[in-house]
Amino acid sequence: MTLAKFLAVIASGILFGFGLAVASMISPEVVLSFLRFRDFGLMLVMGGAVCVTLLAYRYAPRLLSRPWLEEQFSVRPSALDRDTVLGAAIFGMGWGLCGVCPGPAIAGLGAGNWPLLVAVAGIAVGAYAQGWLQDRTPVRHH
Amino acid sequence: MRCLDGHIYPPAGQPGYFADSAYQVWRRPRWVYSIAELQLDREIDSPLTANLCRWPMVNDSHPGFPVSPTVMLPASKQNLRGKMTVSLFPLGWGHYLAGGLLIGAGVSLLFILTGWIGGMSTVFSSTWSYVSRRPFFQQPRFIETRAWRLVFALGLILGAALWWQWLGPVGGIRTSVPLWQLGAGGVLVGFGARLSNGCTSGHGICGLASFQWPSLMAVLTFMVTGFITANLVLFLGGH
Repeated sequence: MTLAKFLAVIASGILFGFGLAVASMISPEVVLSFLRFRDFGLMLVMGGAVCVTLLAYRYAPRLLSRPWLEEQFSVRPSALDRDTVLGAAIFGMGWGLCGVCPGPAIAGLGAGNWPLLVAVAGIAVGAYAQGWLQDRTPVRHH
Repeated sequence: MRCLDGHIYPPAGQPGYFADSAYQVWRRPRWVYSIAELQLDREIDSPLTANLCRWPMVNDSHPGFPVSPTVMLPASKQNLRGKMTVSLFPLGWGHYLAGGLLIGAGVSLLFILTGWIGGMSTVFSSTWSYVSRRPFFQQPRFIETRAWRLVFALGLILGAALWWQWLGPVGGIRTSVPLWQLGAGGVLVGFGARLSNGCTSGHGICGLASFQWPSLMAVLTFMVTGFITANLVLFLGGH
């Protein structure tokens, strides 16, 4: 990885993490109160993030022939199959149990939310279990 | 003043409990509050959600006397007292919107500079490729992206640390969700997000922003199961 790419990625990550902290998503309590219909702020977080990202995803490839530091713009792989919905259902159960999703789990560590280390470890274990299971079942990889 | 979750706001040794806290509120842009202040706001502004507060305040300097939240209110908020009975956003909405726009800016910057799609769950699979020889983790899509995904994750930590140092409460944020919930929930989150190939950022932000129907289905699905589980946990006496 070149220095320019390193700086680009880390600057983007800093914006992302700073935003997660400003939006108070690094507190699982805030996520849980959203899921319990007590505070709908997370709709604004997701809405705001989607609006900005939508503009970038839509107009950057039209205005620029290629990204500044790479050959081409990626397209997010996507498929509507059983795994997508089943996985999302399981993800939601975990989200409702702990109020943590992967981004805030990582970012929260930067704001001293050490208990989230347990969540990060849990997510890593869950991700490993998913890969292990995929290897054992004779289905195509994504 | 001490909250029952163990935090002390403002930090011990500083003169003038209330003066210091009020100073911090006024010093910041209107939409940035520390979590401690948000919880105070919640207690003051919204009687409807007062029962949400799991952190009743204790007056350390005058034990036995209740904390008077009125003193903590910045002047601009005095007129809100008692008026906000029902609110979709009992903690205010500005910081949510600002945070969302910043998150979007981060994902957008990554896309414009490198063309990469910045969902956050894949790093939990791609990083395993450093240590696991399993064919699943040795797929090119993990090997080729594992380095920048780790750097991106490091950026997230740095960004939140920047917020902590600049705007956050001195003691940092400390969740009071029990560890077993964090651990068990985390395993489900990791398994589910990777099976679904996306999480709240992957499906919720990148997927929706790409107008992908599968991501919309995934978002609706995890919202529903999340609502059910979170309320079930509350009903069964969890946090």
